Amino acid sequence: MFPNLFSASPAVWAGFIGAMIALPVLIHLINMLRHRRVKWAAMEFLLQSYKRQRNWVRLKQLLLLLARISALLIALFMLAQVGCQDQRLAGLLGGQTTHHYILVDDSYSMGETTSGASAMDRARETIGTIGTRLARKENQRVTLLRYSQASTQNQLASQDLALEQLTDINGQRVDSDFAELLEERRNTLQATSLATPAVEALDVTRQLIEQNEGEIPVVYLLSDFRSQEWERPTQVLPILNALNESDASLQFIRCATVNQGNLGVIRLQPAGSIRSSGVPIMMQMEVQNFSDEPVRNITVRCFTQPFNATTELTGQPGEVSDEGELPALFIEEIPAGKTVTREFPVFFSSPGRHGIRVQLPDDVLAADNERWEILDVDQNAQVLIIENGEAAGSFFLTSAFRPGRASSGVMPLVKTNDELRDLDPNDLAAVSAVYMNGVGSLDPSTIEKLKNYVENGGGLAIFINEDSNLASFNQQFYEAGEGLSPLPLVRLEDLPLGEEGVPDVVALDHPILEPFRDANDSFLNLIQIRRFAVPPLEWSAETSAAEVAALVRGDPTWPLVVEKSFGEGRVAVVTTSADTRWNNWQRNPSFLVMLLRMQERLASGLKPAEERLVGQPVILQLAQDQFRSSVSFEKPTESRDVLDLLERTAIRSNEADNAPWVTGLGPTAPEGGSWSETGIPGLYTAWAQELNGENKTFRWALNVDSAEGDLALLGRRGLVEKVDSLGANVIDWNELNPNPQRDASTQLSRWLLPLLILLLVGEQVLAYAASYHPLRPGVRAS
Amino acid sequence: MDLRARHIVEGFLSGMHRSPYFGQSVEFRQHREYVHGDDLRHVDWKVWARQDRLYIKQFEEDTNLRCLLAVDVSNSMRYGGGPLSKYEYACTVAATLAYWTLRQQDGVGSVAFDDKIRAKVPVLSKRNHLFAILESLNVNEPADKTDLGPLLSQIAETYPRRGMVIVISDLFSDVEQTLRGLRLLRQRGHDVLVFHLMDDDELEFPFSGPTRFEGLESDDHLNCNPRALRDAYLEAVSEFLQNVRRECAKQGIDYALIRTSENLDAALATFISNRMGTRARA
Repeated sequence: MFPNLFSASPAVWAGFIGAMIALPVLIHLINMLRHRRVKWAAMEFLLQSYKRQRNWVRLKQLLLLLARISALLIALFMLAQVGCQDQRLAGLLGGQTTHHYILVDDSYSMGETTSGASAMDRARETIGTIGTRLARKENQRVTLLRYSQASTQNQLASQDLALEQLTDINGQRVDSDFAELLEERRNTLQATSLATPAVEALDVTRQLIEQNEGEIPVVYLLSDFRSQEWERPTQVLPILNALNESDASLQFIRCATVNQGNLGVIRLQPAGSIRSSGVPIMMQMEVQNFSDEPVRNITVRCFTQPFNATTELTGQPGEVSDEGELPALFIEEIPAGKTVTREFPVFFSSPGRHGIRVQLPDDVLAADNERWEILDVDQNAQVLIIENGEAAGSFFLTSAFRPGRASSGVMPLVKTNDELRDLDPNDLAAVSAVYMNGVGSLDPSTIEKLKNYVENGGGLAIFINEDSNLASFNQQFYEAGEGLSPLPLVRLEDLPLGEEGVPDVVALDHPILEPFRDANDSFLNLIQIRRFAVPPLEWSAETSAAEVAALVRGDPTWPLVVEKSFGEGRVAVVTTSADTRWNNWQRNPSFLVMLLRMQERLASGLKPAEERLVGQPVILQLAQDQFRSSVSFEKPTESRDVLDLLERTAIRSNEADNAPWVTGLGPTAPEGGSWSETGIPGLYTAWAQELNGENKTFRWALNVDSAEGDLALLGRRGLVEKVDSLGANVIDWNELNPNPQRDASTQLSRWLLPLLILLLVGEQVLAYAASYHPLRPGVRAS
Repeated sequence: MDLRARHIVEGFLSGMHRSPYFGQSVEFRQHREYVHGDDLRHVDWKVWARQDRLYIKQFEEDTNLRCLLAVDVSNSMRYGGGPLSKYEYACTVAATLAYWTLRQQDGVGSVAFDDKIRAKVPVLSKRNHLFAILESLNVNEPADKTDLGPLLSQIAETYPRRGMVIVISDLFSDVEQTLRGLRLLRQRGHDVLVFHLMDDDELEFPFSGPTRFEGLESDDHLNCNPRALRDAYLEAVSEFLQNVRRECAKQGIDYALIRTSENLDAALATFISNRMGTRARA
């Protein structure tokens, strides 16, 4: 129901209703007291008739009383409605100011276009309609709030700011200047690239309503009401309930009314963990079809934005790097509601933080048609090979990673156990994986260093060879199941020559040997294992949370390649040697494949796929002894050809003298930027100046939240069901009547006026039946 | 009241007086065959001489009418919505009838009663007897409640000689007892006339608006909206009137319902006309 004159105070309502009920009863009682006395002879007949008619007379009087009370109550409601329409009258009657809180959903799904107009266009038009409605009334105030602005409310407390600063229009009184202000503000409203839910905006509104006590609040939600947000509105409902309890009238205005399909790029990331210059890097892209029908013949354009070392060091901020277009990808069909993944290679000849972009053809929603990714490409990924015993053992590992002049993207460094012990942890953290050819008794600090390294995402591979000390291995690496190794090893097993048809190496369902999983693979059949270490019989991979990639001769008690996760990183144990003393695997092509796939898995922990969403902050920390405090940021703009350049001066992160510089963009940045600083998807670059005068760049790719691309609407009926208990009014944007008087009066008059007339007629009939009318003119009344 | 009675009676009362009884008179009426027990004085010896049969000669009795006016002066008679209350109207009727009776040289007496006899005037035919009757009615202001049944029985006992008893009352008493008293009068050979006086208000119940009705003859009272009770009230009154009228007809009692708003001469003329018609038919 529309807000009305008395809705602000239940006590006022109760008083008026009580008076309306009491009034006819009092009048009735007073009339009874004001009776005329008649000395009457025929009392016997009168008493006799009274006895006969008593119940019926009382019933008629009761009905009459009820009809009069009902008529008065309806008249009261109508008066209240008049108060709602005519605020001057409301003022005379003690009416209050009505405060209209207009909440605009500016998440990127509001950019969906239908018939040439976006949902945001309709929201703007609706705001204009609301303005027109309010211009005819007195005692009106308006607050305009965008979802995106409300999402930064947490920032307010830290910056000691007031809630009002989130609003575009803050409690503006509707007067002669209001129309111009509203027009100006609503024209600036645009769909952002964010995926901000309603909950924050409603929460801010709730707080504003609490601050503006004594007003009649009306809350308008101008949104597209997608299923992905409103199907299970568990977060929103408590706030809506709170608003309802504060007597706020809720108006849900649907700005999107037609269900449309949409394609969106929901993922773009490297397929593997090797990111080295000079070798092809496989990128993986996933496209989702957010519709009820399959989509066919989709061409996806792919672009690279190389960033070579020279530019990085000597280039100037603000220059837009040229994009290179790769061959387009073609997707034949994406079934309804499904996703399709495609891989494509990218090649960068030099190290650097290169950008990659994919782009879908135009559709109803543009924001999710593009996705960016930054590849931090090194010259080569370094791996550390620890030699325990004969140096020849590492030869095969080294050769596998550097096969002749060809580059695998991996640069092996050979170290001894002692060198490993002395290695700085930071240097160890720089390598992508550590390969140990045999394990002897290591210094406890080395074991600790390795554990820290793996826990933080590093990879460790251990090959057992002749020089390995199994007792030390079990003690230092297995540690009764708590250590790095996935399994203990109790003895060495010499494998006799096998029977024909039973290969020594049997690959299981595991990524490391996935290409060789076929039992008839000829490469694996050629491998001969002569000696290997075996775990105790009671060991099982399941209880140890380990994964077995290969078995010796298919015997479950003879694992050959075992892997487990440890912290953020992974550890793989190969129970035979990396050299030729125990097997001939090194001469088999499958050894190289096994090593490179193992390297991918081991190195994946160091560079976890990092996805940043638009609106999130980009924070940069710089060592004070290496960098100056001035930092230049490049950020994308709505125009693709222009980059925005922001100069920032970093501040110390804490009071300490050697505290690092910290600066950034976005809501939680030290200089108090808003979400809009990182609100546009694309590549963001920071240029930091080192003390020696050289520039160092940092890059980030910020993308939209792919879930917002699901444009399925909840539907009007569904939305009504969700919010029906709140007494909320759900209408489509084009149903909002710009003439509120007509709207309100027709709404109410349609029901109340005929009802009142009916009641009054009924009251007259009852009054006649109850003989409160003279029988005929001229008859003497007592 | 004397003047009022004269005015009403003059002009329409002349020679309307005839006794309903056979008796001594100069005017021969008929012969009847002698039966055992007849007075031998009435045998027509001339007929016996001619026809050798015994016949009795019957004459019109030229009686002196003995008229007793029983006037209700109870509290219920005080009610009057018009110019005259029922009591005043009843006194007027009684005076009129007394005047008329005396003018015909007949005897008239009166009894004013409520629940007992308040005043009694013997039946006399003296010319100045009218004043005594009027006096007896005048001094009796209405009081107490009507109890008609025992009173009529008492009258029947007190006045054993047959005559005319005219009851002027609103009959607001126990109906069965009243009818029993009237029956008793008839059984004693009295010619009984009932003038049932009712006010227009009592017959139409035109009241509206909140009203407190207080009983004239009792402490009963009722706060009500009279319009709501009107139909039921009229039904009860109608039932009462029908009952009285039916019983009177059954007993051969002349009954007349007279509204106090009616002109008395017209009401009496209608009544007498109806009565004459009834006698002629009989």
